[in-house]
Amino acid sequence: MKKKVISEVIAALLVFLFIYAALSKLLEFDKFKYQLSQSPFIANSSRFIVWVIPFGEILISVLLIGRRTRFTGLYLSFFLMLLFTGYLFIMLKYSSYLPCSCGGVLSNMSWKQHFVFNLVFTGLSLSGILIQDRIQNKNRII
Amino acid sequence: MKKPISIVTIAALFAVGTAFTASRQVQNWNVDHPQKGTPGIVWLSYDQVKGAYCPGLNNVECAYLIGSPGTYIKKP
Repeated sequence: MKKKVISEVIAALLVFLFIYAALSKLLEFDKFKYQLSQSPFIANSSRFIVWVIPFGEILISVLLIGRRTRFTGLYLSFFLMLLFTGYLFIMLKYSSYLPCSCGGVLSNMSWKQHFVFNLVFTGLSLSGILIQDRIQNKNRII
Repeated sequence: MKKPISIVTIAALFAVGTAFTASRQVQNWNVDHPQKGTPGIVWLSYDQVKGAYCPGLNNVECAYLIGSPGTYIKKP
């Protein structure tokens, strides 16, 4: 029971983050598109990424909302958060120019704060996978 | 018996509301080409600045957020 509640809370936090971030990007689409095009590492593929990120975040949120698809959603959340965190790490380490392509209030964070924030959410999605795995194993045994 | 709404669904709805509210948040923008008789610095939301000061299809910068010069509004 306790594990189920923790799993729900983790899924809720991830859903809030992804839907908020996706809508902030879509509501200020021009801003997001411009900032992404300024990024030294992904400027060439920014036309593609500008659509994939917000709609990917929405898709993951939908998977997280459904109880049967939550496990897949958690895996994808972990993968996406790992990707974002890796990108932030590379930018902080190797780029002299740091344009922020994040949405809403997240754009008010410094790059280091954003990195820590992403690390926390990467950890949350990993814990979500482990907890959900235990819940599903238990259900299989029962 | 009706299933109660899960907190995940509530979080999703809350995120939608927060994102829309935040997009209407007013901020201090420095507009590059203010209308005659109006100041260059305006206290408006992103959408309002875009609608009022960024007409045309030039894809050039038309305003930036004061205090966060990396945040631009471009003409559509």
